[in-house]
Amino acid sequence: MATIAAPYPVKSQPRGLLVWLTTVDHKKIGIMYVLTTFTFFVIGVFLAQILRAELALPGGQIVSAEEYNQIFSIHGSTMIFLFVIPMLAGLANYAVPLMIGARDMAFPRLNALSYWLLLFGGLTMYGGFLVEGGAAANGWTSYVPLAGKDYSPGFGTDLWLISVALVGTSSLIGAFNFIVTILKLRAPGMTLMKMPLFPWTVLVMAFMIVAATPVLTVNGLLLLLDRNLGTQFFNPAAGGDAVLWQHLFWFYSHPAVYIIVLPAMGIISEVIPVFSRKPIFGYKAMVISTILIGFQGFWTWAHHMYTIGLPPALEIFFVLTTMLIAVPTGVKVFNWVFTMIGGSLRFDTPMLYAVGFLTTFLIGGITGVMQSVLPIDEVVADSMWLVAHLHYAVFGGGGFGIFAGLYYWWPKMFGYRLNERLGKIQFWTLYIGFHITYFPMHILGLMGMPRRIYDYPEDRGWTALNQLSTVGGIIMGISVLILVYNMIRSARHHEPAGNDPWEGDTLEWTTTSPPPEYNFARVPTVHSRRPARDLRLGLAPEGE
Amino acid sequence: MKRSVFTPVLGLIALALLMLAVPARVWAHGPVSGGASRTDINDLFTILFWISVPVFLLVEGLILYAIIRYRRRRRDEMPEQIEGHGPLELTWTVVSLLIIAVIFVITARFMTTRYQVEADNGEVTPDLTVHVTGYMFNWDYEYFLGAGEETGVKTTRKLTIPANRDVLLEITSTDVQHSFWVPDLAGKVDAIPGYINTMWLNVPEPGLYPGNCAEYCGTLHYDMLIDVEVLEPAAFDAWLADQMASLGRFVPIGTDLTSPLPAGDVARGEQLFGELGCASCHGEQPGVGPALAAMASDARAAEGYTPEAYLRESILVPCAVQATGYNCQIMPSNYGEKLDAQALADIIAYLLSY
Repeated sequence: MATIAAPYPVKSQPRGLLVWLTTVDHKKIGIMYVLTTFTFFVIGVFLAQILRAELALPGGQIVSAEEYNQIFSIHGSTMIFLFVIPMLAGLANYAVPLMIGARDMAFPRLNALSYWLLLFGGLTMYGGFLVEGGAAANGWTSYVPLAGKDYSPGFGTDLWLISVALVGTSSLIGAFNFIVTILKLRAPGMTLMKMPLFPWTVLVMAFMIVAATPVLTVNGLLLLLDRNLGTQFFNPAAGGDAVLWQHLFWFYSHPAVYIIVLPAMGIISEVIPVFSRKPIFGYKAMVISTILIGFQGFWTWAHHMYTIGLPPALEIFFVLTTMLIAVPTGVKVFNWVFTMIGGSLRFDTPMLYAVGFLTTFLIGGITGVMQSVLPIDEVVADSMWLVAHLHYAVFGGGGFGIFAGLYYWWPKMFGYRLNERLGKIQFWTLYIGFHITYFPMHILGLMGMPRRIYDYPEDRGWTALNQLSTVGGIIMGISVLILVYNMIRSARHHEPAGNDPWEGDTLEWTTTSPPPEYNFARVPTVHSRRPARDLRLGLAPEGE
Repeated sequence: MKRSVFTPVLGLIALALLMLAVPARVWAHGPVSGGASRTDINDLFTILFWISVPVFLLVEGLILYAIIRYRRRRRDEMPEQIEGHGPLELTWTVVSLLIIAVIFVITARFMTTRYQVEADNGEVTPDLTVHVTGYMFNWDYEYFLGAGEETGVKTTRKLTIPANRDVLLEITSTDVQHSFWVPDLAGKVDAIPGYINTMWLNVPEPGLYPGNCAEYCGTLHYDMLIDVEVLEPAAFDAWLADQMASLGRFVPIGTDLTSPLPAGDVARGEQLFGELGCASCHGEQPGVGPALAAMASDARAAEGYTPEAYLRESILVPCAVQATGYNCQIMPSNYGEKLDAQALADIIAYLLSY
């Protein structure tokens, strides 16, 4: 008797919400990453609105000093740990396998674990607002002894540390996944030097995460032990060291700047050529500078600690290493500009954000070189200038890169475009609001206003510029609302995007929008750095 | 082709591990940070500013040129596909390196010549040394003549120094990290528990210079202000002599909880309450410490104490009885050193006036 057994037991397919809760598809996980971290971003923006409103006038008006301190701490932690870093990981999660012609990430289940660790890590941090004593109020840097049990007895600080450990682990698992995916799963013919630049920056980012993130996680763990089990790693009274925390923290958090900025630069390196109808200028120099930044990022952390009293020889060392990182960055900027020069430039929203990135990040880069000069840093460190600089670098760099990527890949992710007119309005409000908000902070810093202050005296002359900055903040807040509206409205109007709305260069534009679960019906063979363009223009060799 | 991938990857990992060896050098922490004078820093800032401006204008100009000149005009236009230009790329790499080299040389020369760090090696003897101690949320100053001759003079919140004299500040903290920053005098130097950092001041102009704690240090960080009063040398000497003379009459109460106190003066107590920084934590509303009215009612309700004895113990030995909901370790435990019997009585009288 011949019975034919099914090769696999037939399971009922999950439906509805369960699809998303159980998925291991990199595209669904990528979309969950993007939507989750975007929600965290909106929370971070809301917190920032409170900060700016409070600083508009001398005197306490809106919140108490304790609440203010919690709000700026969670604002910073949200934006760094829960928005820019994981949002870029999310975009990479979505785009990288498609761009390299893979069917999924190398380890799909680990990929799902990364996402869920991130979500619960984020919720853990916000849980601080619900416990007695409130959320962590030690800044996103959480310096000891302030963050120790004696001075921050509340459970909020423990939750913050646990959250950072969860998010860090999420990031670390994701990094291994990216490394293996990019090194092992590229389409046939795609050598490393034919790989698009976004996967290149993600590869370097992933190596940086592997080297840096465990240091932060361990640092947090040491502090958790100090706080709860009576160890004395950071207690100077018992032979511990208060400065140790800073070294370990910045050993992660300076590379983190490049963990953020590199993939953002990768997005820019995809967007500018496509919207200029030209190949990227100096591909090899772009790859080499990416790798160099990846290494140099680890040599500069003590420039965050110029005022703690380093030995002079080390001070000079860190001055030099910090300045040198401007060279590969400068090379990239010139390459982007010369990609545009001689091109045929089309200014859709992704390109607007790419140019916004260039013009803004340049200012952050220049102030960065100025701050590498130690005597200048002793003046501007921990002042409002620093707040301006970090937003020009992390928001003007990372944030604008993210928005370019969102507008660029949104049609691929969902099959419809974000409305272009709303997109342009959103860009211009954000761009103008950004400079109105942050530029005056440079001047406030030079006038002597420290950062992280709840209130300031009337007679220091800081009021007018603070009010200007608050007005800019409101414009940016409106811009974010426009983006949220655009996302909802575009989903309703469903303006079909087609497979290749931008005349793209890379493989994700050769499949459908949204792509099928297996990405490509047939894994394409790659012959150049711009396989999608080859197919579109019939440039691929015979036999394809 | 496959094998060639792994050699660079292994190389990268080896280099990454090598970089981890660097932190070992950094633990050698020394009291070496100094302040260059505000004028010197201004000059340096101006130089850097004028190096930055052409770079800024060049790059933004090129971007603007590209945007205007190469905006897409016809849809079917296909530009020349240029992949790069070796000599051009080499030029801007070398030029960037040269600009960085110039900035580095300027910085290194500034740090080795214009800084007064060398003075630590005994080349310059300070005219006045002040021990600066930061704590939540105030600053204490102890004055020493020359390199260490004790005067016994101490002040809180307000630092008084002579103009046109070399003043050495030795800065530390007793609790969390703070940073001493008077923007019109010098850069900032952190106050770190377990470390002593130094700052040199030589202020040409007498006057009042406001400053702030610059390292976030907790709830009232924003209110941890610094007042530096710079006097003409003669006026400073007179001030110091006056302070030293009054020291002879000053008998600190210490942790004496029993000997009788003189009658207190409410108005004088209110003044002291402000000068000593008590108001930072004890205001009209509960904050880091109990509010003014709450302290008075707690004192009246305390069992086994007279209100005066309760307040006296809470001021001199803050952790003897802890007010619920507050961390007694934040309250400085050295007020007994700063107060004599009369001053303590005045403050108690002020507190009980609520």
